[in-house]
Amino acid sequence: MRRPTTIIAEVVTRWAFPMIFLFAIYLLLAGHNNPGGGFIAGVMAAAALALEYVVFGMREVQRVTRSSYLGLVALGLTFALGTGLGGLIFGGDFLKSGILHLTLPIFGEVEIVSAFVFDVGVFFIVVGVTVTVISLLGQEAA
Amino acid sequence: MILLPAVLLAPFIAAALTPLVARYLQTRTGFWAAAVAGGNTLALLSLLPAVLHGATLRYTLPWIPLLDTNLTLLVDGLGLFFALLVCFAGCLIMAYGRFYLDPREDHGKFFAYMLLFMGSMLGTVLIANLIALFVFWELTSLSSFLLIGFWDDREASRYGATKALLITAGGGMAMLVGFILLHQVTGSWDVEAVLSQGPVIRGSPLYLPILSLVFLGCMTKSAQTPFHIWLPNAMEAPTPVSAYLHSATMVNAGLYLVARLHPALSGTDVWVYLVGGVGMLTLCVGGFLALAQDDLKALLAYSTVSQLGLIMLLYGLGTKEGVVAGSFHLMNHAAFKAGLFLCVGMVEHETGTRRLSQLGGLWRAMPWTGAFTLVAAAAMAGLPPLGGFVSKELFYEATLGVTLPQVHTLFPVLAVAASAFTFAYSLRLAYGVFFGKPGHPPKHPHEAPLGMRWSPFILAALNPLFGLWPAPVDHFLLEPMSGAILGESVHVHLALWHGFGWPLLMSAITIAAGLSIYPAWARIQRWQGEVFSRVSVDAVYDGTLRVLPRAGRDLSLWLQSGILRRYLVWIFSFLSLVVLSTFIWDRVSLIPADARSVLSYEGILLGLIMVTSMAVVWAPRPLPAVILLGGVGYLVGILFILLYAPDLALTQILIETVSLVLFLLVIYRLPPFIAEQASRGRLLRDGLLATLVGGSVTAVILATAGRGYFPTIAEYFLRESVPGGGGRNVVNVILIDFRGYDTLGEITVLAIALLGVYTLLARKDTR
Repeated sequence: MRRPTTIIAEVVTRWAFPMIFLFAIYLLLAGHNNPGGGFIAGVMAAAALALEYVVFGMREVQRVTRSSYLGLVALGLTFALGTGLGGLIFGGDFLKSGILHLTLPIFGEVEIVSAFVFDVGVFFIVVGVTVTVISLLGQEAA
Repeated sequence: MILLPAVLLAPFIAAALTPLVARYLQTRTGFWAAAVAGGNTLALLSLLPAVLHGATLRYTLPWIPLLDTNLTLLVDGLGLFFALLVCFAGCLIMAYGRFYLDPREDHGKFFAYMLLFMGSMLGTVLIANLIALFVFWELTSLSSFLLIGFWDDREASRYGATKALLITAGGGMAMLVGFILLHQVTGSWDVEAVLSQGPVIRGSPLYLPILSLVFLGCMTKSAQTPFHIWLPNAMEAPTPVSAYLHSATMVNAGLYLVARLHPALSGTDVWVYLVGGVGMLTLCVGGFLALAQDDLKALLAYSTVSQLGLIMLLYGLGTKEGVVAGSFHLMNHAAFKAGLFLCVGMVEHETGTRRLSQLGGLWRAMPWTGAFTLVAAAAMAGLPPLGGFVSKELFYEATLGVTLPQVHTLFPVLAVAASAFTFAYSLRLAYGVFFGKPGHPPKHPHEAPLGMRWSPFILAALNPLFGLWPAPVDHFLLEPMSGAILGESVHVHLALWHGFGWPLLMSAITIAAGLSIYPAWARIQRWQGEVFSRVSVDAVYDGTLRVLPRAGRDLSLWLQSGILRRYLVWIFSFLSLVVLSTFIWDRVSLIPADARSVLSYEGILLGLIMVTSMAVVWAPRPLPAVILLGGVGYLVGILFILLYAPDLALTQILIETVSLVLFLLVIYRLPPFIAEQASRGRLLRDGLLATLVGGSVTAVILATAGRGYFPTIAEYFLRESVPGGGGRNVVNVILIDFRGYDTLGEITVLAIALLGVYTLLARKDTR
């Protein structure tokens, strides 16, 4: 079902959505050293999807993401718990973080922190929860 | 001592495996469970030599090293005896259970529960940390609940299971409070450390509360009057459960704890009056009730109540004689009572009934069962040359040794009277089932299968062994056990023949009185029926169960009326009350510590925030109100930017955006908004409340800002962020690393909340 939206909104959204989403991914990746992080990135991505939803409706959001949001939440929790258990197994304590220094061809010196996996988990959960709630509330409104 | 944790863990692991094992072994699963119990018995026996030499074995596992709290497994004479009892009886009874249980029943479930119970009980008697002891203690209640309710399609089973759980777990709560008080007095959770401070505890003003609370837990667990009412209802369980949990082991947990804390809590007059008095009351009440029962298991249940009271009484005397007699009777009781339950189980299995009024003259059909029952019942009645006779003589001797002026004649007299009842109901049990005129049971009776007869045979055979050859029992079990209870080394020499004296005379009187009470059982039965139809403890329990839920519901309905506005009124008034009263009480200064003047652009922003907030209140409809509220949020986000908090600002603005969308969706679903014409009084009330809440929050900020009540942890985070967390964004490092636990908890809550939202809102067309 299509909602009555203006052509301007549609065109702007078509351009804005990928940019917002990319920016969210950037926030997720950069969050450990610059402003950002899994939570912020998650809300940002959810906001992008919300925009998509407001303008094009639920079907479009589902076409873009192609996943079950509840599954996303479960995946996120698995990531977070997995980080914790990884710390328990390799570091001796639950959630103990490890830092890995790598030299990659293009990126040069890269530092990978195990807590990043945790952050990705947070990202998934925030996206999953927000979009599920929007879709649940929206279906009756539609 | 790696053996100790292995012994404790084995039943739990085996219980978890049992459903799998049951798939292959099917109806032979009982042998697997019995093998686990048997293996544990052997492992525990290997510890016996060391304990005999007076050693106390410990295995310490650090639990919360920061708080100096350890999980210590402790094996001394007392713990080892109970652990052996649990495993040995478990082995016999589970082997028996394999034959008792119908092949169509779920053997896997049954024996998984039984093993779970065995592990919990082992934990209770082996662990030396009060909190862990409490946990295992409640676990035994829980597994007992599962086992009583094993036939969960029966109303009576569910009733009995719930009753047992409510009473024993409720007593456990009281016990926990007692433990906490004990900790406050002694400063330790460790049992040994607590026991070493006996004089401190007894001298403390908290002694009486500690004793009564802990003893309340023991009373409920060991079915002491007036909490004995759960035990007869627990008889709805399959008979092996009654034999194992409700006669030989779980109901002894209360006795175990009384014995365990004996060095710390006994030695006062209160101890004798309370523990001994309750024990004596239970002994008499149980015996009196047992005689009048028609159901064999009910008879045994009340008899168990009575015998537990007897042991409690002996421990309550606080003397060496009492402790030795009590411990010895505990062994005898486990042997003859578990044996009797197994015999009754065979009778029920083969005749289809356990009503005395339908049974009689079974001796010809079931000679083996009859012989075992006769021996065990004779031991219960206290006839020579069985162990029960010896422990009864010791019991008489111990009551004669009471010196407290108020009770020193009363106790021996009541002891004889109660024992006469014991004699009478033992006679009624043995004679009523196997002799007299034949009854009319539903099934044609014949002897139970051979495999079923082994366990009761072994249990019954222990009785003459204890009586005729008590030396090994003295030496291997009783001396270390009594020594551990009393906290000093004890020499025990039991003998069947005590010589002529008061105890022998009292035994003779007991038999004579018992024989004369026996014929009156029918009259006693009628009289009890008449009394209990008018007044009983059960009625109190049932009444409480009727009234409490209703009262709880009424209270919740009053507090939580379903009108959201009223909830806010409750929450906000309480908040302001707490905050403002603290401020007035402690005269907190409201002048901020490090104030600086507001910059001009900050002033403009703050002004805008205030104006927008006002506009929210005066908005005519929900939609503009929501949008204006979002405006407030964005303005606060800008404030964060001005205060150099980019992460906060980002979060704030994003959250505002998403929640605006959610708000709009919710408003869409709301019924049409009706502008309520609020009365002047309510407007005044709401305005006042809003002012109070705003005022208290402002006051808190003014009073705390820059005051440094606590040393700040910020320095640590700033210093450790790069080396410890590998990131320069301290906010993010805190979120996902330093306080990863918090975040993990929060996202878990978020996921669970989502499940709630989902179940509330989801329709079938949702993915």
